[in-house]
Amino acid sequence: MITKSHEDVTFDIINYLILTVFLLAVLYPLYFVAIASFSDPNMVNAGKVWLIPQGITFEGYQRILDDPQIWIGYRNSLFYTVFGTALNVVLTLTAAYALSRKDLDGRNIVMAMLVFTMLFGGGLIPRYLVVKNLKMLDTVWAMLIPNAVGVWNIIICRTFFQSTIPDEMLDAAMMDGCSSSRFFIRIVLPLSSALIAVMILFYGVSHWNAFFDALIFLRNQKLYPLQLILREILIENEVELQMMEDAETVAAQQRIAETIKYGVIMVASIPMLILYPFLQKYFVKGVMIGAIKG
Amino acid sequence: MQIKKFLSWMLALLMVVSLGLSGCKQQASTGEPSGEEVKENGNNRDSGKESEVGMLGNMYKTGLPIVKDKVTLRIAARKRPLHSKEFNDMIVPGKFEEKTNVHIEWDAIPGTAWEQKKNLMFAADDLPDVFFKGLTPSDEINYGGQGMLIALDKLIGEWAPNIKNLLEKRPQVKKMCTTPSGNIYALPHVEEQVFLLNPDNFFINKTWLDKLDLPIPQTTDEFYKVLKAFKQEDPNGNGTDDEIPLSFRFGNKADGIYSLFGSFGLLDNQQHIIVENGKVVFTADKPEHKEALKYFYMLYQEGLIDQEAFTQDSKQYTAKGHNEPMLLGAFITWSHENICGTERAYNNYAFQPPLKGPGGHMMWNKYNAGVGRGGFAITSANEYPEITMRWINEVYLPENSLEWSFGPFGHNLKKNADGTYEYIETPSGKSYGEFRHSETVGSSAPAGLLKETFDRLKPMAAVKAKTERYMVYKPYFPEDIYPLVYYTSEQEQLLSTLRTDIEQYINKMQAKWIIEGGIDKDWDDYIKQLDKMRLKELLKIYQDAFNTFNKE
Repeated sequence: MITKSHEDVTFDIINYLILTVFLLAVLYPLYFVAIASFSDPNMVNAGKVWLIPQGITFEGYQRILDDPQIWIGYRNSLFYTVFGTALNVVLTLTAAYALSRKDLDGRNIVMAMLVFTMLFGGGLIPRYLVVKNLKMLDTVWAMLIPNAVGVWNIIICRTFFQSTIPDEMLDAAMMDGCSSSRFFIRIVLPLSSALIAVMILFYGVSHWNAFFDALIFLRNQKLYPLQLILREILIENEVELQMMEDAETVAAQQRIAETIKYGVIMVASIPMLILYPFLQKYFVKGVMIGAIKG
Repeated sequence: MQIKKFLSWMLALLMVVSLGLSGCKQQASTGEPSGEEVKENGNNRDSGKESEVGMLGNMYKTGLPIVKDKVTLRIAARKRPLHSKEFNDMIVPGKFEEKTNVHIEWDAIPGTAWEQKKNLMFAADDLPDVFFKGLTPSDEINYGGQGMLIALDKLIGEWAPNIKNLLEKRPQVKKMCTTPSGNIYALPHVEEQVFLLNPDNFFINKTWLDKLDLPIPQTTDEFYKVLKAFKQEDPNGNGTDDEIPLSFRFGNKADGIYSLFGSFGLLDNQQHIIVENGKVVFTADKPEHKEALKYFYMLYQEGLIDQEAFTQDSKQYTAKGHNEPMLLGAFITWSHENICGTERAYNNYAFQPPLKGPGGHMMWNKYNAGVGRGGFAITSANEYPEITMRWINEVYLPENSLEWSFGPFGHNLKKNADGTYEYIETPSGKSYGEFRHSETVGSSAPAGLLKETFDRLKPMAAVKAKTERYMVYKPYFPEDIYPLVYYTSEQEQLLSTLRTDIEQYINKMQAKWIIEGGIDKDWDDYIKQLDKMRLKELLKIYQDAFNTFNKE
């Protein structure tokens, strides 16, 4: 046993104090949303809810449960997240692995072309035209294809493969008659579980939070992801009303928004909150890969 | 060697891309057959059997249905969270499709994305056939001028007797939707409910007045005394000085204090523009305006005005109205039911009529209401402008407009034997807004509802209360107000730069003078500063546009 000196003890105490402050700063907003979700919205707006829920009501959650749009959005978001992420991960890993092989001709050209897109983009309208001319407007493909790979992620994966899979391993496998695809599936992938977890998290979170593509490319309400529906509910319509006729409608909208706002945030965050703990341990490790060895 | 490799790579890439493309194409062609089918059918019918009389191509010239073979129109409309169903699953659009044989493919765009998506549609030339509400006057001028919206005048004359009739009955409305070039690019949305004319309404706490044994104040002096009593005598009886004698939201059209300026002889509004004897008058540099601001400063100094009146948003405002015990003495808003809940609104608050100022003035703001521009526009992408015009003509039929706006008969409305209409009560657990939008496009659809129609519709409780309020303020409305005008693109450009700066500056100064005072000291500099900000040019634009409006 090493006994702690006075200095160590004070160090620990200060350390814990600072960490506790950080923890509270991060945790409190989450806690606030949780208690606000079943408090009386007027109490929340009056600033009376900050530690203990006031005027407890479950009307908000009742409404959320009854609202078919939210559940359709939920289903769509799950669909886009699961299939989108699967597609992303497959394409990214295969592309990155191919690019990591030194025996691939022209890989620098391909890499340069990829990197070029990171620096220069066509902008919104050309992007819209491309999607339109590929006839993907208003289909689920518009949510999956245009962002099928992230160049940044390809770079991370390529660097990972280059630095963790030694060339000698490939040579040895080849010697035993292993093909490239077999080597990739049987040897590279099992060695890259941390990387895969990180990719799933990166892509999964971005799919779950994405609304912009949906906003631009979709017009069928049945395809809307949850975030787009939330955005509608939550963003206050403080736009100067062109007509008083709309005032009543906007007011009615706001009243509903007030009751379900925090509940809806809870509902939308839960899947990600569940996903995090399972992937978190890989996450830290994975991000470091690109950072140090890149 | 290098080049060869590169070429072969590019070739491979090309092959992959073209393969992918052709795959997509195939899918797509099975995806949307409707347009082509319709066209083909149209051609077939031309070849014979129908008598040519009463038909124009596929379209019947009068009566219903409008077309023989089903036609599809793509309409962009704002989708609100209140719409719990897709438009085509609702009763009103569904019934309408059966009647007219026109199928609508809705481009339901969330309200917050509307501007972005609308601009994208114009920029990418991916236009729907029709826009439902939400085109701004400058859209009409710009896109109308570029030919992306088509001029409707001729179509209205030929195919839309209801709309033609409506515009003839209301020449003022016709003027408001006619662009300077003389064309109409978008039909107006007409909803002549009288109570929309005064969005700002003034309420006072009747319970407190009774408790303190005071009458409803009639003059600005009496009002000051009442506020003082609210402040000092603890009318809500909780022993603390938490009463807010007067609350409002500074700078807001409906929740702001613009109408209160009227007690001093000159009304104010967000643009600070009124019309007197056919001339445009700027309000914020007149002595009456100064007097009003001094009065507000006095109130503020004594702590009678809400400290948060300059910063609060509508949520905080509402929370104050709902607070237990009551906090608000007097406040200004569009609907006190929203601010403090129906029960409290009807039991505890009374309408406060305009206050008589020191000079004996009593005035209250009236706004351009009951007509909105950009209600319905046909784009250049539309292949059936005549059919579209006949279709919208049906929507503007009063009974159909009622259904499109307020919901189907038998669900939201009912017809009485004597030709009047009635609202069906909102089922409990739902708000009226949700109920209204459950089976119809509602506030996202244009309509032609004249006062005559509303006279036959028995008001519901909330409407009744609003009409009473209107009656309180009606005698004090100004004769003329600045109409809805169009600006040319050059005017628009200059206007947008000048207006923002000047209005922000005025707002800033008004707030400063109410909170800190010192108006006498600052006044000359203020006038000079306005001059420097090219106020004269701004006023000239307003006056020019007003003249153009009146010439037509």
